[in-house]
Amino acid sequence: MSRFRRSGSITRYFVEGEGADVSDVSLIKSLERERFKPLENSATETESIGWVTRESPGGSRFAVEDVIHGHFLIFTMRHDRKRVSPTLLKIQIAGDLRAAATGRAEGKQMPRAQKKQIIEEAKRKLTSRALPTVALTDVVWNCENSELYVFATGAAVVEQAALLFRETFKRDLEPASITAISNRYKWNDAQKRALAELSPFDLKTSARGGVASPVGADAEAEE
Amino acid sequence: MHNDNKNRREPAAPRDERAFLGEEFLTWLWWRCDSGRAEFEIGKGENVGVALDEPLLLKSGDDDENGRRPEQIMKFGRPLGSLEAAAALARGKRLARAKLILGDGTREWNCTFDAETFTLRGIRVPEADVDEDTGDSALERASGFEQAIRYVDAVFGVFLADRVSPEFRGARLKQMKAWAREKTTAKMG
Repeated sequence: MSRFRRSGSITRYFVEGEGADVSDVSLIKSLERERFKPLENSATETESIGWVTRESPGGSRFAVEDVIHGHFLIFTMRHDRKRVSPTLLKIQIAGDLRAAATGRAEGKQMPRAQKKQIIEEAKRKLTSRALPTVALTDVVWNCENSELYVFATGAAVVEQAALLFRETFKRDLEPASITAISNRYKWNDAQKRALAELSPFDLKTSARGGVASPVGADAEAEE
Repeated sequence: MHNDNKNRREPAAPRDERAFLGEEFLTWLWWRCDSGRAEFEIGKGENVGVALDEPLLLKSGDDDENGRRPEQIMKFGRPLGSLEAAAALARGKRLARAKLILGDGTREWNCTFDAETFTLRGIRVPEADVDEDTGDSALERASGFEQAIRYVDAVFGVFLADRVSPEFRGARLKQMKAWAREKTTAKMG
């Protein structure tokens, strides 16, 4: 598969707990435990999520040189989904019901259990034939500063990757919100107090072109 | 995770109480860029230069009657210097999204900065030579992303230090308001 990306959108997390040792082989073993398992021709499974690497997108191999790059661990979440078209399913069910009704005495209804069985069988048949859609989401664990970069911004994908990371490595994640980022700088007591009391400013000017009153507590301090 | 967890999701993060600081940061950067002071010393002898570009998203600080924040998208025709953008600032809107260009003298990064979530979208790292010792292009690229994030965090730190200073509540806010006013009057005049 392709090399690790050169561009993308990043959602960032802070990885809690002790900094990880990038050379710790148990990290790779953890990835292997949560490896992606293919749906293949399964007639019942419609979704599978797990880790792969760019070099082994089937999830069969987690070579150290594919995962460890300097102080980064780079891996990819693979999410396969099988979806049967509802219209196709309706057509299949209608055809199967017609075929089953052939030869039945006119006016005699099909037993409910048999009808249910035909519907389930149609679903299984189409699911086993359906090809999955494949979504790959790159994840970079910066072990030097305990940050995780998820290369996606859609909430569902990002949250799925965060959940899988937590389950895989048994480490908690804190979203890199502005509050979390601003708390990471070294502030003195006065700055901490000021930060806690901040309220938004705007640059509204009055209709005459003068400076209008700003909003909030900061505004009061300005007066 | 095979099927059993397919419908499980992380609990939604609570709303960030300091989200407004992202828009203030971007608006402050705009003021710094217009004032010709968009190069920042970030320690250890490092400097990073910042430039902004379109497309821009400006958002009101207040909700409208439907509980939504009015917003204005501007692109094409140098919107950063436009009367429309100046007027939006003077009416109390803040810059919520813009193209952000970072440079450290040798390399340049481009991305769209989403201020409310502090997210770098569509970030493109400079194509560096592959490390001769390791031959590892993935390492080079991951380092490129890390560097861009580090620079944005460092400049945000400069903003925050200014924002919590007593000077900000006094002179700085007046300077920025005068800048917003001058942008409008200069364009109209």
